[in-house]
Amino acid sequence: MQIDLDAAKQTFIIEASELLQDMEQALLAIEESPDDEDTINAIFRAAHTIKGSAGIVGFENIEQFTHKVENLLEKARLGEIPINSELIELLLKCRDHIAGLLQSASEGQKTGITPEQDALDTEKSLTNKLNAYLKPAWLKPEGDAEKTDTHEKSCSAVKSDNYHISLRLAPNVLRDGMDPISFINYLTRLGEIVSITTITDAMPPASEMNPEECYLGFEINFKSDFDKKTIEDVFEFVREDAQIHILPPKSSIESFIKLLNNLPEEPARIGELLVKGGALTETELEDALRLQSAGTEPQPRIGDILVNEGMVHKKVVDAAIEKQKSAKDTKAKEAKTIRVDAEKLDYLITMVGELVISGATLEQHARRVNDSGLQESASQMSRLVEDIRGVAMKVRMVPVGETFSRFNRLVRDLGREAGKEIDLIISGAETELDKAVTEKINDPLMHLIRNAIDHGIELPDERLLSKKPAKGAITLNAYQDAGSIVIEVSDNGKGINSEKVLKKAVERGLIGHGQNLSDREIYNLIFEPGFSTAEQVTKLSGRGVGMDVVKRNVEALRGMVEIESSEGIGATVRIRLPLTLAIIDGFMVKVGKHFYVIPLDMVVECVELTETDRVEAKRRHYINLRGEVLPYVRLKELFDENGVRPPYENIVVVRYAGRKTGLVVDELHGEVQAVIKSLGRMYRNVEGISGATILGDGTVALIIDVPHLVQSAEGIRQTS
Amino acid sequence: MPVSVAMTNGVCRVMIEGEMNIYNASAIKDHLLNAISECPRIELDLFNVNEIDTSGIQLLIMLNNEAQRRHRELNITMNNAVRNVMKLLNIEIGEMAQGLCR
Repeated sequence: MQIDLDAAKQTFIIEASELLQDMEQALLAIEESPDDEDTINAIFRAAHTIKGSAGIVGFENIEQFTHKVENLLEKARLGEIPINSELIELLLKCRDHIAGLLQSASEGQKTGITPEQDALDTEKSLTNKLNAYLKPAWLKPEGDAEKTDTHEKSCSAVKSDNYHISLRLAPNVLRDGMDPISFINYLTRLGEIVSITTITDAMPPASEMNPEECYLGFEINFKSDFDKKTIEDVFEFVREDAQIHILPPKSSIESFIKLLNNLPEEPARIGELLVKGGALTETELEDALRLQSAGTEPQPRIGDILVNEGMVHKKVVDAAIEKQKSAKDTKAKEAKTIRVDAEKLDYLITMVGELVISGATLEQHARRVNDSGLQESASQMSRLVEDIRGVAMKVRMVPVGETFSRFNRLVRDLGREAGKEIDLIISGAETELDKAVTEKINDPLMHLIRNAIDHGIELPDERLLSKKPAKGAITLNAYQDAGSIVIEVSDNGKGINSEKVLKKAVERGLIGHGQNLSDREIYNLIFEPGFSTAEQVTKLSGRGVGMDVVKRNVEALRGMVEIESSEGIGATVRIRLPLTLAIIDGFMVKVGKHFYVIPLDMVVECVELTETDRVEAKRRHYINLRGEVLPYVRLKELFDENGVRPPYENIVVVRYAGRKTGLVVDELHGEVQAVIKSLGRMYRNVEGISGATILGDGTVALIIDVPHLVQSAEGIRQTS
Repeated sequence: MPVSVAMTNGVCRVMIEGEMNIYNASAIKDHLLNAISECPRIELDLFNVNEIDTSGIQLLIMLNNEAQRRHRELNITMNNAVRNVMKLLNIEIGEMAQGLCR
């Protein structure tokens, strides 16, 4: 049991974080359109679910605090409190506080531990603010039960002349010496139990059932002339921890709808729900069912029939239908997605990698044996393996949009703090990225956005002076490009002042005086450790950490960062990341005695290195490719391979980040699937190599680090 | 001992006497579960039960659920004391489901 609860807590923490994320999105959305009911409901539901689940797994502090937030939301939902920026600000703070509580809960995994003092202070001040909003209702004690039915008399009432009592008893009621039956028995002295349904849904399987715990609930249709208070008092001793709803005769439809939504059971058929809700008698339901089975095609829904027959009010049916539908929707969603431990996926991918290797071995052997049947099977298998590989890789891919949308809040808050108006524009949200990469890219993106807010976007006045709209914009964009994913963070601010950067670099001794640098090189200086041009160190950035961290993080993912900027118009930081981290399609070449694999996505074409170029090559490091200047690198020289120069050499033209480079190799061997194996620690820093792979026959081939070579080829060309 | 169990030819007769309440719920549950796992048919005799509380009713619901799950035949005979409680809560198991008491 204990272990199960821990697992449940873990699940709760994951789910609650997601719900908080939704809540934040919804809160930001509602700032734009305060009248959107769906969004208000979404916020309410998130808070409600967090409260409920927190209670179940025993995080009482979260439950209690969220309960207050929920009360406030309830009022906002009913339109009793206007939704304005002040309220949203408070709710956002409350959300942050819940996130904080959750954080310390997940670290401590215990509720008993005392939270830190400042967390307590925050909670206190937030609670005071919440209570200030809730005041009117709190003047009445036990406001919870009365709230719904006193002032809603003006709304349409249900027909029923009876009380409706809904009981969900606390598990420990029996152990506390209470017997619910006796309370129900006592009810018969106050009036007549018209109908009663015993709800046994909460009863676990026999083996898990604890005979001393109470699992029952009751829905009672009760006819009585006594007032609500008297009936309430019957249950005074079991009220603690129990869910008790008492709806007086002629209650408003809204209160029934609320009851329907509050009942913990899985939605049964609508009819049953309505009987349980006391809005309908069983006979009315039976009539309705009969009408439905005799009905014409297409069969109308029970709900429609009931409304048409004037048996219930439409709103009640709608609530019942909605509850049923939303339960169905979540069920469908549950069926569509499952949570899988990331480790299992990693293992799967490793296994698929091994399968790729042994498939290649098999194919090689089959070719040697010269058995056409065997060859056919082998090639069919390798096709299948290829498919499996594709699927396995896809499993890990998630849309980048979720990561992007988290920054909405950051932009809003930081923008306000800096007195700037900024929109965050997201495009390419559906672009998919390896899950592991999305997690690691979060921090770099945050740094870049902070930078854009602080250094890029100008103050509104300044913007108006330079004839720009007062509101700045930061754009997050993602797309696929030649085997890599590109993520761009652009702003329409003032751009990068290259003179300022240059001056600073000289000051810091990063470059010498009078050194001539291209714009690209100047911008790259920003990524040097300890470089910052902000004249003033602000809270946001300017401490000189950040950009070099961004660069390091991106490079750790075998990616690359570059900056584009035009002064007065804006700047774009572009991050390029490899599409996959585990298996690639490669192009195999031979240099000297060894095999090398070039990622196929980056290969553009192969051309022969002609005799003329060979002669020329003594002087320069580029060839003329159909009128284009193509810098090239001799892999043989680069990797110190010996062996005689073959009569014909080939150039593999690769492209990365829009720049082409030639790699001179001895032999071309065609396509292979390469499972990337990381090199040992000793070799990790070898330039020009990003990993290794094992070929079908067991030999090791090195994987060429194209991005790096493209850059160094450029360097060679510029110095020559 | 308020519970007696007799098994013959795949029929298990369980007789409960006296009180079916929170104090003996745990013991009764064990007897009932044991019976249902041993025999395809259970005859539960509640004729001599003079008091039943919520925990007792819960055990009957549990037994009924379990019998359905395992496709066991379950017959419950009861006196008015038990029957009245079943009626009060509108629970339809045993003879109540067969309409014998209407």
